[in-house]
Amino acid sequence: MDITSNARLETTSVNQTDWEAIFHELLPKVFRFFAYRVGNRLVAEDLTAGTFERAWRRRTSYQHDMGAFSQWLFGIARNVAREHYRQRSDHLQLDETLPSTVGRQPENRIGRQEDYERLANLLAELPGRDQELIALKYGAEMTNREIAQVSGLSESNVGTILHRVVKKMQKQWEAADE
Amino acid sequence: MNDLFLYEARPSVRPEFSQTLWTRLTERKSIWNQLGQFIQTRRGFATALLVILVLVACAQQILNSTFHHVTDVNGISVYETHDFLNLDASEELRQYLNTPQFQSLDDAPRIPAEEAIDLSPYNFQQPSWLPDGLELVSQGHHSSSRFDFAFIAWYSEQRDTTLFLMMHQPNRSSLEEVHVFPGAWEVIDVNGTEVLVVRGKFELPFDSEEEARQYLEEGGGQIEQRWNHDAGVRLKWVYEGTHYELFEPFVQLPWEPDSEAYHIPEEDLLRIAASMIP
Repeated sequence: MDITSNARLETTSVNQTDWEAIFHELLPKVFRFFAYRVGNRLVAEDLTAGTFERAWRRRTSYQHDMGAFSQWLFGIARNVAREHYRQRSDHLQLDETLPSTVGRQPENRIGRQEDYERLANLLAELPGRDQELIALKYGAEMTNREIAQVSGLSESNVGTILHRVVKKMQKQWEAADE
Repeated sequence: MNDLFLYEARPSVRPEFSQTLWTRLTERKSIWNQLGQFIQTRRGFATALLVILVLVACAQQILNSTFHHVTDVNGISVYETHDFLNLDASEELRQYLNTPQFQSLDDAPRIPAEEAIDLSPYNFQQPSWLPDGLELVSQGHHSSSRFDFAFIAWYSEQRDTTLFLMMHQPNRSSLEEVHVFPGAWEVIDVNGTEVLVVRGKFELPFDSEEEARQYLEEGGGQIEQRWNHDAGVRLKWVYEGTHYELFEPFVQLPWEPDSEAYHIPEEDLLRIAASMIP
């Protein structure tokens, strides 16, 4: 998914820039990036708010280039996440990141919750860079090319690392099942 | 566990969080004033505030020089001199040199409010008109044994400049004195209030950081300042007992080109002042 392809992000002038639409387009991506990165809904919300507050004042610099704005925003998000980890030695669990809409049946919900807790534990075990790439890929829904632009890695390198990390997580998952 | 599961596991955004954050972003005051943090601009408000204090401190030392009192503007004393100023700027310069310069917002540190800035609100006239592009970035209060003033700061990305409005009560400090090169000032009537317009300012006479550091290494001491006619415009006036001062602070190092640092024309500054004087 192209994070800048949405028609609502297209702008032609200062007055026509729909910042509210842009906010609502990017907010879930940034929030989910943090949810995967730090593993706690409330912390993810705090970090998301901090990211937007830091970026919002200078948004007009990017009014003609929303791609650059998104890239810049996620650059800030990555820094915010790193600052968070520098400030906190404890790593919070993912038990509050469960989607509210998943598991419509009680028995499904229980099963799902167990799965999410296992996922949380797997993510928490990942090295910071791998965790960040997972967060950008599956949390922020970035393409490998976009991740490469944000992270400074090559596109092929991003793909290789992600493939390896997901395979590793799958193996660990299956090993726990046995 | 597979790709699909990793996508499905993403949490949804709570609507109330989204709404609250949007409200905060669109109410600039709540962001910049209530966070309790002093966000730095490209060149750093710490520098700007420090420069204000340096200039005021220098002005105090200037009092012993050969200035001629030429007029009072509602309690603002105006002194002229043809001579350069003599003062010891070593301590101020040392602080100045040791203040980090920031190249971007992302790299800028944040200064805890309690260090110098009291973010409690102040009761004073605020402008009802500002040039396009200026955004409120901070307001606060500086209080020390020598100076006590409130301030509001706006920043313009397009103009790459910061505008400061300082306010204080009469306290017989150097804030109420202006030292100018002859003819570099004028008193203009704005809505029935006399506004002092100062064009330019005295600057430290260093053309490079090396010169400045050499001055410090040699122990500081007397130094001659020089008037820069292009160093922006400063407005000062008194309204209902409160002193106001409106200017673009000298946020660049003294040896950097001055002319590029000032981007708000005098007519705009006067219009801002007029919007504060009913």
